[in-house]
Amino acid sequence: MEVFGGLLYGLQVTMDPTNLAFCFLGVFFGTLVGVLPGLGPAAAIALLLPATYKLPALPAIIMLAGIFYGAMYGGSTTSILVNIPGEASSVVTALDGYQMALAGRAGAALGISAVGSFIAGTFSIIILSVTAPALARIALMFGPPEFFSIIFVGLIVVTYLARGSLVKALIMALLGLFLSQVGMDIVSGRYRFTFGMLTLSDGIDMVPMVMGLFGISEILLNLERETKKEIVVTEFKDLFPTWVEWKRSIGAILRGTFVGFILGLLPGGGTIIASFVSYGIEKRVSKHPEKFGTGMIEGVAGPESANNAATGGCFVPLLSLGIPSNAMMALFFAALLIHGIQPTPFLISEKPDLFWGVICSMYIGNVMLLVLNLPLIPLWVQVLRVPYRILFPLIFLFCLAGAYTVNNSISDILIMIFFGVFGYMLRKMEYEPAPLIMAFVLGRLMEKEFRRSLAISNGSFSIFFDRPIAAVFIIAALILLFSSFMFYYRHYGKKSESLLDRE
Amino acid sequence: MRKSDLITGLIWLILSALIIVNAFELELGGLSAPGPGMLPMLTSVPMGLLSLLLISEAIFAGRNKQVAKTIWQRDIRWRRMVSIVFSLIVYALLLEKLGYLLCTFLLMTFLFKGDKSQKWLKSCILSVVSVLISYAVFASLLRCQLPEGILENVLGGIVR
Repeated sequence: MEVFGGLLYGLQVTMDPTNLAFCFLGVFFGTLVGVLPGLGPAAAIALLLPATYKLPALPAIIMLAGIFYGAMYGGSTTSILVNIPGEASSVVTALDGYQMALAGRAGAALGISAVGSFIAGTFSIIILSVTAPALARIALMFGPPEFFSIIFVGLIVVTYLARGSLVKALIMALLGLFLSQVGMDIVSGRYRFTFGMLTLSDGIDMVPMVMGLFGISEILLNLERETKKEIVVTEFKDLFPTWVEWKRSIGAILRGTFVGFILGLLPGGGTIIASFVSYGIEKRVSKHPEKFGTGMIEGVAGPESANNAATGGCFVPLLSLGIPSNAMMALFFAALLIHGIQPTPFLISEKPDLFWGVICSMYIGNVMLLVLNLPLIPLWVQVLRVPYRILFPLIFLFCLAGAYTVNNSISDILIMIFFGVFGYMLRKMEYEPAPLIMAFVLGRLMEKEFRRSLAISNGSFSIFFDRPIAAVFIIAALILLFSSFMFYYRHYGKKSESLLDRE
Repeated sequence: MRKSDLITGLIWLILSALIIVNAFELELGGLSAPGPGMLPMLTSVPMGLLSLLLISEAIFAGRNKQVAKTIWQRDIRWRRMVSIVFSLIVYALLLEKLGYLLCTFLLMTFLFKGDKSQKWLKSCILSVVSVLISYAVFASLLRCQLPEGILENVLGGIVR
């Protein structure tokens, strides 16, 4: 089967010492980032994007991917031990995981978490290796309207799922679209919104912007107050769940894998929603739902498996269609572009070394993580003890040097600082940056497909509805949008609380 | 009335108006041959409408005394944050003049020093260590080009 051939080829490519080294670096750094609260995988990937410039594409993507799924492993460690989720998709793990730790079962929670993550990660990669090539073949029949509609629906779903007000999230997405229009218009050659500034003539550089919005603004948020947290770490002896706990968890792990992969794959989905949904499912299928929150191991096994399975699922649309399904994948999309690779359905056939190499590196990375995670837990605990006032200058240093090296230009640093402050203000005023980033990264592509579609149809919008696949996506997105607005206005008369919070 | 929403709403409204004006200048083109101004227009019109929505909700929705989350709380360390951002900007502006090593050293010492909690010596040492390691990683390992300045020339001279 084509898949086998591909996997063997990929293994061969991955076994190169450089690629292995970068895989290790990625998963190690990813776990570290997952452990440290306040620095999520998105920020870390944004920070390391410039560092990968001089590297060839394959090790760069391998390392960045390693950071991504590595962070899923690392985040659970602190959720369980210290009740501080290292990153968003480990929030649910803390609910029952920490309770288990308090009851002396931290080791079991950590063990189940690691094994579940490994099983889910491996399964999702297997499914990825099969579905992506198949989907790519289907996508060869896609035209501009289909691509536009997929991007459109992904953007709408990400916006819909953003925390807080839908109106604000939509404004963020539109702002992102606008920012993507700054620079030279490829079709006409005219400069848009550059105000004569040379720096802007190529458009706003993605990397400083992302580093500012995710990295700098995050630090600024953390700097608001002096944190004198005393990290109290629960003790644990062994890392093995009991046989009973294993039996209970297997179902959760399998369910989590399934749910996680699908939610990673769907436009707008991702690791965070996967973990939340998995928790909800475990609670529903459990014979003792009321016990959730007191230390149910299914509440750890399910979400931890789901978030790792989602990492595999996330890559499917990107590698097969060339369209990122969520904000995190938008960063990978950007990374591919930076390395001169156009993500399209032809990616798999034109660059098999990249595709199969990345997939195999994910298998190997998961193995490394399983081996790494558990023995290194004392190290991670020590890392947690480093005070933030020593950490944040180092993160700044990384950002500043990184931003400079993008183009050897100070204006990139200034752009980064600008977006850092801007991002900070946005978050303070309850605006989510995720739709902005996704819209910004996808803006040019979306515009291209849109204009092409109109050119084909001679200006008629019906082209988006005549073609079945495009129609389905666009109608789904519009239904989602309108139903949300209807929901608002039904409440307008009844509730007098602010409509802007949907929570 | 949620002030922050009102203010941001107005900002988005003004922004969308500016974009629309610019979009016309850029030529919209027809639907069958969209010009450079088409998509900015399609972006800014919804933005304008949504900002109007935001503004109206900001004015009318906060009627009952909802616990207005004061965004700008008292215990936020404003001065520290502003000084840090300022130091970053100064760093950027001086980077190419002073060179990476010196400029970064100064910045890091400032950042590590913090409010009053750290001692000068400890900050300096941490600063030197981090600058040297970062230089090794970025300049040698990743082969990025960092601005040369006073210290680089001095050290370069010594090394050679």
